Amino acid sequence: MELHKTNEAKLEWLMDEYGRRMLHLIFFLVKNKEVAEDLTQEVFLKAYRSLDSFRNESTHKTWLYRIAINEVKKYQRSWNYRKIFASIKIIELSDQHRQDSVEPQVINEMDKEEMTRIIMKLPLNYRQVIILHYYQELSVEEIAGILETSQGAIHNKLYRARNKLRALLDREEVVWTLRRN
Amino acid sequence: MDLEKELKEYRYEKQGKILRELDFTQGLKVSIYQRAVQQKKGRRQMAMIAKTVSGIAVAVALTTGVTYNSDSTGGLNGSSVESVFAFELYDDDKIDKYVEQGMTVPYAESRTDQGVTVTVTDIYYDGEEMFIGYVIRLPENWKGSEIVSKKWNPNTNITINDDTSVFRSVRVDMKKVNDNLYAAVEKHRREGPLVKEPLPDSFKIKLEATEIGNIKGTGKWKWELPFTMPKEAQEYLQTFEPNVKAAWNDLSIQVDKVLKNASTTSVFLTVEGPKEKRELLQFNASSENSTEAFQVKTERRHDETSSKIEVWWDTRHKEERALLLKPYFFDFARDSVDLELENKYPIEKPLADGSAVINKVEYLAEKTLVHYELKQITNYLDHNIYSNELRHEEGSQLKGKIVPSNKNSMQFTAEFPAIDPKQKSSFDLSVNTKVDLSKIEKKEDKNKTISIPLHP
Repeated sequence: MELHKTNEAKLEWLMDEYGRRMLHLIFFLVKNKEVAEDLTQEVFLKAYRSLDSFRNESTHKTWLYRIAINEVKKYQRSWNYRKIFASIKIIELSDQHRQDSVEPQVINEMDKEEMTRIIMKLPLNYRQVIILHYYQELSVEEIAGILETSQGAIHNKLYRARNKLRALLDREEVVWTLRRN
Repeated sequence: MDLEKELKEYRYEKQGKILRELDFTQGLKVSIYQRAVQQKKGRRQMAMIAKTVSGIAVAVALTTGVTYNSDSTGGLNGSSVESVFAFELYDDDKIDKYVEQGMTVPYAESRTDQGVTVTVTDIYYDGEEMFIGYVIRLPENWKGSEIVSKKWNPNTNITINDDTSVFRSVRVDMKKVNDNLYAAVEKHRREGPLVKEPLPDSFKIKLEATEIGNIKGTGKWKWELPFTMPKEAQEYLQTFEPNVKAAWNDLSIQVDKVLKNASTTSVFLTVEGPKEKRELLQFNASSENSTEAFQVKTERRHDETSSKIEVWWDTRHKEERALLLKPYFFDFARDSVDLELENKYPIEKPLADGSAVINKVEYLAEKTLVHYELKQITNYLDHNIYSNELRHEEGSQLKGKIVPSNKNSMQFTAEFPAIDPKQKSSFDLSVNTKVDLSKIEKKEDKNKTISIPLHP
């Protein structure tokens, strides 16, 4: 006889599997650690409440992402929303730090810090697709499903987001390649 | 730099130091678990349930003082709430900016008529522009035609204290998301009256869609929504009277008022001097340091002694300190005449420095032809008949196709769809004439600029 998991066990599994991913996604969208933690709680609670009506295990991931995106939208439309900048300290690249960072692995991490800072400057719509597609490694098809739009619209948005990102990088004069060489 | 390559390296799985302080902690997990179980069983059973779950139970005991508010998601909870927002689906840079800045107000007001559910999901209003976002969901088995904006009939009545309607232009733009989901944005702008007194921050909006696609509504797609402008939009609002006056080419230009909001900045002017010059007056604009020219639009009303002119442009940024207005004259003038169609021809009326004459009107089965000529209009700009229209008694207007009767003459034929000759109609004609600016412009005023402060 097959034993069925309780909803509480399913919730625990969902949190183990996707908790950190959800938290990171939401942080990228709301730019605030406390708010990201609050909204992540709401995402899992909402998922828990809907577990009985959820049947297809293979789409747990996109289902959670959709809940997360909608929670972020609700938050940003709420009266409580204020433009808050990242409360997490993203490590500053001091000259000393640069000189010390000679190993390729460390340099890679520095690149990502710099990239994080720039991505955070993108408008929400663009930031959202960049994070979903690259950082969270979702396919265009999956993102289209989550955002309830067409794949063409996602391709278009990714194209525009990359252009905007490139413009921001140019403006900030971020030169990874120089640092790498 | 290969951005695509860099982004592909930027993956959750490979992330190193970045976001390292952001962990899905055991405390967070326990808090979620507690709330979930409490929702299900109630507080009294919590301790017992927690003991049965290994790992989590230990953490529950370790974390004390975990507080939460089960209603912390804001005002849009519940399964009946539309899960997507029209502004989000609409994907417009300008609207995205307003959303990003918290200047839009969320709604979740659904109305269903004949199976088609229309939800008002967002409203943006800044004192000048109003955008209303709708999400339209069609039934899964929808067999009807596509929903197109041409067939969206908004009947929007924005009332201030129940009696004032201040919006003139209405347009609906539509985006198809999939076969059953559409997003529509109804766009309004205060236009025309040249008197734009600030509106209250809170008022009522009455909306009705009378036709969506090919479906005639039965009066159910109707809303009455209270609206309060968000603080983020209010912060842009400014009205003040700068003490600025300038003289230019026999005209005196006085800046009466500056009105600023998130989308639009308007400058209201009173201009006195010769009417023919006031009618030709135009403006270019540039930023305070004069490095960046940008487009402005004007709205004007002339009387015999003065002109009221509103110059407006898209608000560029909140902190913009001043604007340089550069007056210039149009090098062409426009004049119009309205000729009532009668039974006797020719009919002649003055136009510009000559006249317009209708020689004949032919009411044919498939079209109506108006044969007319322009007489003794000097400096007439060839091929520059600005418009010719037939206006019916009940108000409908028909645009005419101009067919020159003779290339070398000033005789023309305007072709319209067939109309009933018994119906009272008139023929409106506008022409452009070239203006010799050397006769009206003073050399010393050539590069005049008027500096207008944009903050009190």
